[in-house]
Amino acid sequence: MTTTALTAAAKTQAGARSALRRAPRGRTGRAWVWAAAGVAVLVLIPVAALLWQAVQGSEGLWSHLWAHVLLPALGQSLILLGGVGVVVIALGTSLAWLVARHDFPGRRILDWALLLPLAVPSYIIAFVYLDLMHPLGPVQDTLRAILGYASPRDFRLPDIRSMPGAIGLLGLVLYPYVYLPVRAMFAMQAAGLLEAGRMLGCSRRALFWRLALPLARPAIAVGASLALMEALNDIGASEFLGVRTLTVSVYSTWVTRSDLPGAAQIALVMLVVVAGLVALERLGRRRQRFAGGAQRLRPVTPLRLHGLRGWLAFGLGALPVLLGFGVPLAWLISESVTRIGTAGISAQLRTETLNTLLLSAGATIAVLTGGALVAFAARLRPGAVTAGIGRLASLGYAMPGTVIALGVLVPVAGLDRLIDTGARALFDAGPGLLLLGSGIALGYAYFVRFLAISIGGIESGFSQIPRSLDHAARCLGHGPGASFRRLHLPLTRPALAAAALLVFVDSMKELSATLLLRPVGVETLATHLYGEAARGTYEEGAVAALAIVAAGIAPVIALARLGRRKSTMVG
Amino acid sequence: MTDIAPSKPAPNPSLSLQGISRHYGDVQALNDISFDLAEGEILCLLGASGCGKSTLLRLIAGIEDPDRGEIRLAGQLVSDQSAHVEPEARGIGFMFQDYALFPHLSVADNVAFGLKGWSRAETRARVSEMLDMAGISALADRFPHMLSGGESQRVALARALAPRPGLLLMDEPFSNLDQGLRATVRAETLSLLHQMRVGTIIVTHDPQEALAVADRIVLIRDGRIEAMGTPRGLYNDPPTAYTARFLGPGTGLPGRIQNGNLVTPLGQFAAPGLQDGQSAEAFFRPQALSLCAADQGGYPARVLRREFLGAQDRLTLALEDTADTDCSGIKVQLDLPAASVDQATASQQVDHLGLRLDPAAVHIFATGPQPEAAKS
Repeated sequence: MTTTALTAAAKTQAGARSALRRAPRGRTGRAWVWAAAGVAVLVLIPVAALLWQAVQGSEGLWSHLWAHVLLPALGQSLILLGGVGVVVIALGTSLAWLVARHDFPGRRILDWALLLPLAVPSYIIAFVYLDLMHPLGPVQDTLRAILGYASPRDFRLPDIRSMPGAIGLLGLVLYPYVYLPVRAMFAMQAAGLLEAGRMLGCSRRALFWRLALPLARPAIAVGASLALMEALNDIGASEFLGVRTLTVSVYSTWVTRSDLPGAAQIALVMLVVVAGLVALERLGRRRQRFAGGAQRLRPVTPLRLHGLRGWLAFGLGALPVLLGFGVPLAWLISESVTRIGTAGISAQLRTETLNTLLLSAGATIAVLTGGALVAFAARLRPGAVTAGIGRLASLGYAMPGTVIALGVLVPVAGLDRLIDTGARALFDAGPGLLLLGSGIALGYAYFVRFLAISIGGIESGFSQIPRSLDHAARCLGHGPGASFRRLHLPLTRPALAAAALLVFVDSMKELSATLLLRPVGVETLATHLYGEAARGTYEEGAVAALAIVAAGIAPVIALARLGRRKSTMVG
Repeated sequence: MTDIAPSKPAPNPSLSLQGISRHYGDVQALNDISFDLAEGEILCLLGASGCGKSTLLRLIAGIEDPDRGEIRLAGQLVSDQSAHVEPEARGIGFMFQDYALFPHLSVADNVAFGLKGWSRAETRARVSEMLDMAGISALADRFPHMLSGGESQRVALARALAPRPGLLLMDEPFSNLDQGLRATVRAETLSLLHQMRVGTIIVTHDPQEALAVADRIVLIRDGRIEAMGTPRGLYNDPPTAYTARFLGPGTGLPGRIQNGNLVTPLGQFAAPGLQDGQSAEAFFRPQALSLCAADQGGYPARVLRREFLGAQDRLTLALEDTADTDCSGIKVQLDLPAASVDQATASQQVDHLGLRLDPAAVHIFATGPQPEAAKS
């Protein structure tokens, strides 16, 4: 033994053992569980506030609301959801089948490019096509020039400001929610299974309907329910296109008529619709738990499409990318270039960009912290309690932004009043609406809405770490906190980064809660765009939209790379 | 369990277990486990997979808590029904079956991980000392994914020992190594453990390994201690039939007690302490058998199978019925040094041989309930 070692020998753990302190059992990580429970309570407060607010409504108002606002809005929403559901399932499933089971020129590009429309929020695609398809817009002008008509009075396309227009546009940007999981499912389906089907006399076409599609049902259900939740959450596209959905009604009932209980009641109906979507998803996934097990089997060799058929396949696959991403991006770029070339970028837009970035960054930090608390509590103390906390804390992903905003407003406004009164009593001056005025209320709404993303991401990151590493860290003298800092945090950095990117971009794009909760006089890029579209003025909106779409491309590329890594693992 | 072989209480045990029990749902994983570990002693927890031995290791480390019983480290209570010391405060080194190396840290940083509160200079000195002792100084800057199995094992050992634990726990430490590497790594590990004089508990399912490395073996069966003793003691004088069979190959000849003797096809053996009429078996290791030519006396046996194993020949023989015995279906197996086979005439394609059994190497175990007469 060296001399240094001898001096260090005083520091043996055996020596430290004279100070062994015993504590009651079952306390390990309890502080983390309490913190996680606190996070879950933060998520539940808006729901409770909403319920409380809804029961405040008077009977007379309710019947009026029911007959004149709620019923028509519910009808419109259900038609919209039904239509969007049909479009995204048809589009997403057929594109997934095309790309996963066929080989043709450009397939590798389409494989990930088909995800790109995810980068375009629904209110931006509506904003773009409203201008493009305007009776005096470029598309109809060109058509008339080709067909030889002189004026819009002689020839015009059906108005895009309609229910079919809304369904089509929402479907164009939401189909990737179905495409992504279904493509993975088709790629995973074992060759043996399908070969068995063919041996039993199924034609290739019959295979799709009788085997591949039923096997992909769980993936379709998951994707479609996510897409429809987005459709329900949408406020911009519906409003621009003149479809008075529940979300639009909540906004107008609150902002225009100042009827908070009425808005809360509509919001509750929206929650019922969400519950219906979740139930439909469960129904679609029933008795299909085995479907995930086919990972290690030999994948199917795609059918090679030659010559014209190959190019036709590429054309068909490229069309949704073009309409849902290419055209809007090209239009936004050209409009932005024109605008910046003539007027530069206004100070106002710079401020709005800064607002957007600050809000999104703050929300991202809060969301990641909350997600890490919940995920690590479940890691430390696996069991029913932490699983329940995780589920409650993830509720927000299913709640539309307007609903969350309503739920956040009441308790936060109450707290603001309390702070103000207290401060006035103490210092003769109050801060006014501290939380609502500073954007903290809006950050809180983002927190509730996007927490599920970070919980899910961090939990899946943790699941990659073998338990023995946790135990090794403990035995090497690190308590839960130190283990988290030195082991879990560094090892989940990729998962954290991915979650941060998603939350940041989603916060940037968020419109429905932002419209309701932004501090007076403060605009973000999204609300700026909304304002211009609502007024019908097209000034810097394109620049703001371009910034949002550009930011949104990053997570889509990350998603595409993730999908490719998974598919190579399978192959 | 019949008898717990020599367990002299250590004067100052580094670990002491008292009545440890643990269940998962309806499964009783551990039942009333008690033993002490002397300072510097190497103890093997041996048992079939699922017998509860790994669970016991986790209870000692504090990763889980026992339902009942007390755990003491160097005389200090660290766990009882109501209170416990967190694993990070116990000062126990734990080497995991999968080594559990931290993938984001270099070898040196892995070894330094447990040196909490050490100064930078002390840490550096200790890490290089440990890497040196484990013979992996050249690997200091590598990352775990760049290491071979044997290298990972050494890093895990160095990491567990670096903070000078009062006790080292190893869960199947050699099971992930190739057969060829295993013996070398085992020898190196043992010499390191002896050098550091750290009390060690090694969990293994491999009786050869336990016999080779342990100062003492605790054999666990279905959550209970089946037997406890030195490797030689347990092997040569197993207290139970299960112990005898678990520690190595052998043959059991069924029989019945008559006049204080166990009567078997291969002869009678003194069975002190067993009642007449009791069914029992005579158990012996292959090396208790010797061969002779069929006409030179001994018990007649027929050669069923010969396997050439290099250094020895393995013979499988079936006992043959004689006028006064029925031993259909009884087979014995014995290994003979390849050189000696000629002498035993076994190589000459002889099918029939005589078997002799050394009565001093036969163990008698009761196999059935006591006869009715004895109970009353």
